Amino acid sequence: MMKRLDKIFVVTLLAVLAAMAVLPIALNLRFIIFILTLTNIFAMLAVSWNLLSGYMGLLSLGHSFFFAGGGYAAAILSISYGVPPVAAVFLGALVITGLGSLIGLPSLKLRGHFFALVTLIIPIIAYQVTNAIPQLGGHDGIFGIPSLFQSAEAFYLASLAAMAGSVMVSYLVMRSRLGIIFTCIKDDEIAAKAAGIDVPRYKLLGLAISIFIAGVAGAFYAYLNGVISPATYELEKASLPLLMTLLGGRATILGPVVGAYIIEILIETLKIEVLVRARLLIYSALALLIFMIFPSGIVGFLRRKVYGDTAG
Amino acid sequence: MITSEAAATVLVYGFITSLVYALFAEGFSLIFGVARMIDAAYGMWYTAAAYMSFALVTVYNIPSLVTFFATIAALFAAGFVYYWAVLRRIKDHIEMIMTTFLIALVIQNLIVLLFTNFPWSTPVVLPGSTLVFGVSVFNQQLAAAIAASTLLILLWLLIYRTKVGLAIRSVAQDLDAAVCVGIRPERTMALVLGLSTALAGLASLLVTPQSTITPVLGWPMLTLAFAIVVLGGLGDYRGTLLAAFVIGYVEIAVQNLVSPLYSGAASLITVLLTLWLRPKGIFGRSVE
Amino acid sequence: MEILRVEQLIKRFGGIVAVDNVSFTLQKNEILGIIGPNGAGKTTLFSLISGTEKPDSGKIYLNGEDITNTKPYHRALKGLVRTFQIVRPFKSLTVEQNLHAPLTVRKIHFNQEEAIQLLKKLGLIQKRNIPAAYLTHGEMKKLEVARGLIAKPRILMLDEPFGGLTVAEIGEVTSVLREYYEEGGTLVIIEHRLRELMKLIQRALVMDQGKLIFEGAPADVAKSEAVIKAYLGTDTVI
Repeated sequence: MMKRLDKIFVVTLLAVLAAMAVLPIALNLRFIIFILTLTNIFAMLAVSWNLLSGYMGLLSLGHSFFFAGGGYAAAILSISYGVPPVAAVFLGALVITGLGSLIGLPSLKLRGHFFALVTLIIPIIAYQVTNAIPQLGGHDGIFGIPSLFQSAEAFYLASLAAMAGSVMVSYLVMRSRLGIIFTCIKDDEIAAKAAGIDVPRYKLLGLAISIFIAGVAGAFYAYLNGVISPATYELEKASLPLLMTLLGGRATILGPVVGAYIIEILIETLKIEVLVRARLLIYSALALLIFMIFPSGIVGFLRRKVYGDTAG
Repeated sequence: MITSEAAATVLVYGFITSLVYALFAEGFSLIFGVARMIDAAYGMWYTAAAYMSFALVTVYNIPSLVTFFATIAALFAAGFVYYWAVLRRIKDHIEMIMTTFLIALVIQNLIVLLFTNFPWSTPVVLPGSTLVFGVSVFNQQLAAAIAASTLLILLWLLIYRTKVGLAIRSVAQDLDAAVCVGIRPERTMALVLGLSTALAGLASLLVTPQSTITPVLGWPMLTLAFAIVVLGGLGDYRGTLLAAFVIGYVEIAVQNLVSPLYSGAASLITVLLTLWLRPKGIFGRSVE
Repeated sequence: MEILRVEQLIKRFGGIVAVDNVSFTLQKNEILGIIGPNGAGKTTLFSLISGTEKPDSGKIYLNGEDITNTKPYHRALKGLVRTFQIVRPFKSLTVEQNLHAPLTVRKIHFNQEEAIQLLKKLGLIQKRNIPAAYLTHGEMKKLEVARGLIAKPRILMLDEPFGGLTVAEIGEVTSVLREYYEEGGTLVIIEHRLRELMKLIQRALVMDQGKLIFEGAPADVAKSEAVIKAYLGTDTVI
């Protein structure tokens, strides 16, 4: 049964969520709504990354592939096949989940660091292939993606719901028997096999869940901007979920979200001339620092203070 | 049908490209095979060398030759310090990739801060061009090919014919045994790192003059190095050399005979297939 | 009743034959010990049986079923469970969660009472909610045994379970192993702590340089010439 501290925590969380849903709209903070929507999308991507790399220990340096892939799939379904937007989001995510799993499957058997390097390569290949295939819009990508919702406010609420949903999924997975199995795989694959765990199968499952969430985030991203292009594969998008999660806390449920918000706040507040160029430098240096000093990130650090233990 | 001109072009450019790739990949191979470490920042050393020499020549007007040696020396020192201050302390491979990846991002963003994203044109060092087997080749490229082959031979001599090379090979084979015969592993490792970053810098300086540079230059190079080293079998000099030629030729062939758009993808798909089907590569150790 | 049969297993690593034509059978509800000098191939034999390594030739039968090509996790699910000589705890999980793992994958409901009883008998109950990373070496060894027992395996293979344990800890482990045996379990144990082992086992196999050089009652092991030669060399006179 839940400890008292847990109960306070959940109530606080729900309160924050409610506030986030209501306040920006009530106060008509138009300019913030767009930023918050974008933040929610990246938070989803970070949650997805954390599931694969933080909890399962399968370091992914190319998560942008699943993100952009979701966007492309949704865009194509929408424009070429006239699939209604909401359905396109989920179908698009399913498409990239299938494709990503197919590509990722042979790489799962590789040792952790090789898997990571392979994930580094995949967006680069994808970039080249996408550039070259006319059906995918080539260099300029696909634009004129019809809008998902009538208003920016509705989009914002949807992104908030989706983000909260992904956090919920992450929580449910890690609290379930899957969570124990994933942690076993991360800790010691050989012992996991000896305990009866079909490691390849569970790795694939974890990969699929992670890709799906990233795909949904990517679809949202495509709809938000009205356009999706090969630029979405780029390193910045591939490294952002990593930076956000490291900052907020690997292998924690809320870490990625906290990290996403902090980085977005930094992006917005650092809109002073010189600092705009330096911003990437700042948060990569920040992530490096955090990684070396606080390996468990901000949330991990806070949790230790509050609960006094490090059990994941 | 492939014309004889196209074939000649592919053969000549393929050869030059492969030589430079080999030089670059040998550096990566040293890290993987000897130090048993992963450096996700390896592409950044390439980029850093390009920008450093660019700055020295265009901003400070330092003569090319001096710049060349200064840059290589700086890269060597950087590798040494990199090992000593950072890599040495990290045991876990995944932490190492993350840390080196983050360091790469920091370096890249530093470059962006100092130079912006603008694709600067690098100055010409050796103007003009020559005909090689009927194919027009820039003198710069010719020099690069000659220099690369010389350096590759020197590298081979270093590894297989000197005491230092012996130390390196011993550490690669059996660390504990190497310690027992009096080799200081950490010093050797630092040397290896310095050597590899220097190689990255050398490859960069041979190729980047007379072209454009951008801060993201290093990432395709990193993936190339990874592809070559995996294909050739980790840490094996011969394997890396052979694989570099395979990948170099595949890339140039695709670029000229199929389409420039697919050339990068071709070599990378090669590595994926290798990893999935024959993890041992041509010679050498498995990646599983 | 025969529960495990190993036929002519051979495993080479490069030029070395680690397991050289080893055959034996294991009866249900017996306690078998495997001993031999270091490097005799005992752990490799275990790895072949548990599936971590593939034999170059030979066959393995579990309850009459040919499991030679079955994956390790599948063998574990069929009831062939092993522990490791060098402990492999799940460091991020607590002691209790470590016990949870083998059960949850078999979709067996986690009986907390049983788990607590087991932890108590092994002296691990105090550290129940502590991540396994913080246990002492001896405690990690006991956790290996607990993790092996919790899923009530058909055969439990233990690789040097007493290594590094105090006499008291060995007592704790021996008593849970005896209980498991009395409830119908089958044990195979590799050990170097011969005094403690001989009190527990009913039959002994002795290996040397990959070959099986003796099979029989514990009391006869010390009398066998082959065994004496293997442990002490040919110049020794008893």
